[in-house]
Amino acid sequence: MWDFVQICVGGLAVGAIYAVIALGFSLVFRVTGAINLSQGGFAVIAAMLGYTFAVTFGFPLWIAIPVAVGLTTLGGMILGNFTFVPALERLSTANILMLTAGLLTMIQGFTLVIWGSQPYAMPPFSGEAPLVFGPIRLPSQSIWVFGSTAACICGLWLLITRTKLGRALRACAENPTAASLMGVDVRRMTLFSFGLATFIAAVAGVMVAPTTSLQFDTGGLFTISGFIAAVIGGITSFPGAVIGGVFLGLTTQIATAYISSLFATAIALVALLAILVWRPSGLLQSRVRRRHDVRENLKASMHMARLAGGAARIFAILAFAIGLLLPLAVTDNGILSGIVIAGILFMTLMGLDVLMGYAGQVSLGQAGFMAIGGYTSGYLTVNYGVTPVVGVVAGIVLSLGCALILSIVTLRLRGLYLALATLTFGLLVDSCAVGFVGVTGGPSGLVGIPSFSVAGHEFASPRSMYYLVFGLDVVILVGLVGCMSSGFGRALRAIRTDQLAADALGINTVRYKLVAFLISAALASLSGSLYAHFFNFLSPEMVGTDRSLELVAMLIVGGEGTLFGSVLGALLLTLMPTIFQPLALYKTFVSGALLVCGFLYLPQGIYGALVHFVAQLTGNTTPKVTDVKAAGAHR
Amino acid sequence: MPFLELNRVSVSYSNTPVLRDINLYVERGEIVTLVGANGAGKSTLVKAISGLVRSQTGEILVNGEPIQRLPPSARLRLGIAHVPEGRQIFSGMTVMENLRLGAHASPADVIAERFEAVWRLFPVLKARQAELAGNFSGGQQQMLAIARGLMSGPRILLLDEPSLGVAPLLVNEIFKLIRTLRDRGITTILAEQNARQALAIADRAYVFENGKVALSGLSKDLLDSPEVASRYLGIGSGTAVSEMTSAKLAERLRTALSVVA
Repeated sequence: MWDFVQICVGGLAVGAIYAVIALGFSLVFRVTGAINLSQGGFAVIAAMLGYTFAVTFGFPLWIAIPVAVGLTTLGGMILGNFTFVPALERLSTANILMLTAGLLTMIQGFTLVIWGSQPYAMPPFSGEAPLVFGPIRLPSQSIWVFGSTAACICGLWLLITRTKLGRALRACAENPTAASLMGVDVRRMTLFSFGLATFIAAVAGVMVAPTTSLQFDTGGLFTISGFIAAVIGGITSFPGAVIGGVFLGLTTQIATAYISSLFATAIALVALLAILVWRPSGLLQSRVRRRHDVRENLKASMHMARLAGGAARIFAILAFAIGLLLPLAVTDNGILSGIVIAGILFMTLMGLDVLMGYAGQVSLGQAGFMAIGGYTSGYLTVNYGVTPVVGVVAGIVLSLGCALILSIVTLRLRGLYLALATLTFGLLVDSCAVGFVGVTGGPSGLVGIPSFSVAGHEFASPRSMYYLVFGLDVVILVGLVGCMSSGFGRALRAIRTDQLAADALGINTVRYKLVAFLISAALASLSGSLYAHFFNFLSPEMVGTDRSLELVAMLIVGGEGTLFGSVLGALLLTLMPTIFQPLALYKTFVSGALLVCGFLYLPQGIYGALVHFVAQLTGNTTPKVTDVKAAGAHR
Repeated sequence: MPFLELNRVSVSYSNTPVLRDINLYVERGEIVTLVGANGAGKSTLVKAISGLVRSQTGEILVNGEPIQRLPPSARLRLGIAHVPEGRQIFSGMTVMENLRLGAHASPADVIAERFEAVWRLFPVLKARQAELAGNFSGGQQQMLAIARGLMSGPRILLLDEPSLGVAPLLVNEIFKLIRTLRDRGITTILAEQNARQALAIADRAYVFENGKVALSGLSKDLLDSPEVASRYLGIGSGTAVSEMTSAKLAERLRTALSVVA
């Protein structure tokens, strides 16, 4: 019995931190309608700064901690002012989500450059000795954690409900247009909420630092936990954030203690999916609905960049020829392998584009299907000696099965909750890949996967693999382009633009969404299998959540809704680390920065920029943005 | 010098022109109405004056000072209050909070007296000040939206479709209110589709057609001219036409019946 209480206390301490970060999510979402994934990164920066000031420089804690929090907040506001705030005026919410994911990567890269990759452990603020209450032992640091959580919650509540500033923030949350008519400076409020969320994250970071070891990439974990907590609770509700955080903390700790530490995350995630089925928009719902202003509709239809018919044909032939001749020009095996990897990922990306670019269904767990395909094919070929083709097909069948089961959850959800459910799926597959050591080889990976072969012909060299992948890519691309220019593609785009209207037109939205989802799952599975066969090895982080986020980034950087564009994003993000090998330390930072700049300056992706360039070159004034935009603006 | 003056103002949304070369002036204490069909550009003009949309060319002058580059908050401080179409009240907040937001840009010491003035005009709102604004009827929400606009202590009130979605009895009350406000020295620009009622209370009117001012003049002249009324406002001779048609129909029926008989 006391054991249980002890475990719950531990769970509460973990949950309190999640709750604080979730509060930041809620705050930014309520004021801006966007999700800010960068917070976990700021938490780690603050903790690292605190460590540097307190341990390295030897400042007393009461100076080191406030200075660390202050500096982080200031840095966050400066960064936010040049990235997040201007992006809000131009980008769709899904792109802003990915922009902040880019910010997170950038911050992690910055931490890596400054503090290196080793873990840091901060000494507890008030000594190592735990507080003892009868049979319950309470680490002294958890008092600080509880205290700061309570202070953050109360402070935020007072600010929001009792002050003029809070009223203005709420006004922006509810109706930005009307708020600006009241003389509220919406831009400044946005920046303020971003800064406040950074401050809250920084407080959480310094408080949690002594209870765990921190590394440059711990921020991602904080972000994901905070995001999950915020969405479980209901993203628009502050009490919901707290409840979500505590729930997540308690579930993980109890699962760790009573079931298995390997599956603790998996169990928490299954619980989360169950909650999403039961309450598709979180446990607590705010009574305030955010108004959608016309601007958001505009942003939703901004993605379509098209080449005129004739030019498109010429460029398709040109691209095909380049693809065919590329291995003759590229002699470096490292770079060719990079291109092959990009080609393999392109298969997933085309599926993801059907799902996201056309049907408008965000998926942050696409690498989960890659993992299912890769591990199934790998396991069967390694342990049962089946041919890779059979393995690949088995992987696709299993992926389709999983996609069908997952669709019970996802078909009910939209927007953020869909993003969360798919993220959860990816994390779930991830933790199974780590947990089922017997099948997957656990964290150290599955070794000895044979190269791909068809009827005795083995694709062992990068060059032979290149032609295989190239051929498959072309077939899939041509097939999908045909599909998307038929009624099916139109139906998907109708769903993206307005699901309700699509329903009203008699489009069976459930069936179309399901088909798009299954296509994306099958393609991801295929690409995951090929990936495993190409590397002769598969480990969880190769197909983990970072990969899922990277896939979305590739898609958006390349150009969403174009099918072809994502290959450019894939090539860019895959080849960059290969080409800039000597600067490996800066890799994370640069790829984050590149993402952020891509979103800010090339909102239609590289493909969109190319189309624009070609159109100017040929003097062809193809309307870059479809009529939907003009129609929307007329309101 | 007119109080508010627009010289050759044009507005386009992503290269689609919505307003072209608008010239307009409003004298102190006037009620000026903008009438015209849906999509004629009335709302856009109001938004251009309050700063919600930026005009690409031309100038907007208040007391001779150009304001077209100022953000909405600065224009609010100059005394331009915009009561937007569809009310746009903060439905998750109480009446009190809505009104306080209306005075967001005003100094703290004038807020008490503004409240007094608003309570005198809208006793209903005072009685229900702690209730959530979202629970109000359309007409009451419109009252609240106007009250919220008045909380900034405006010299020019921009009213965009105040009769939209409001019960007819309350519409009369709102129009009466606009006259009361004029008596207190508030200049009003009223964009309305309900042209007959708008012209009845306004001093002057501008008729909009396809983003241009098609006609302007004293509203009583516009009301009195049957040709103008039928062409632009859909009132007046419209009824005459239908009377003629029904007379003809009756005539034909009668002949048809007589043939049968």
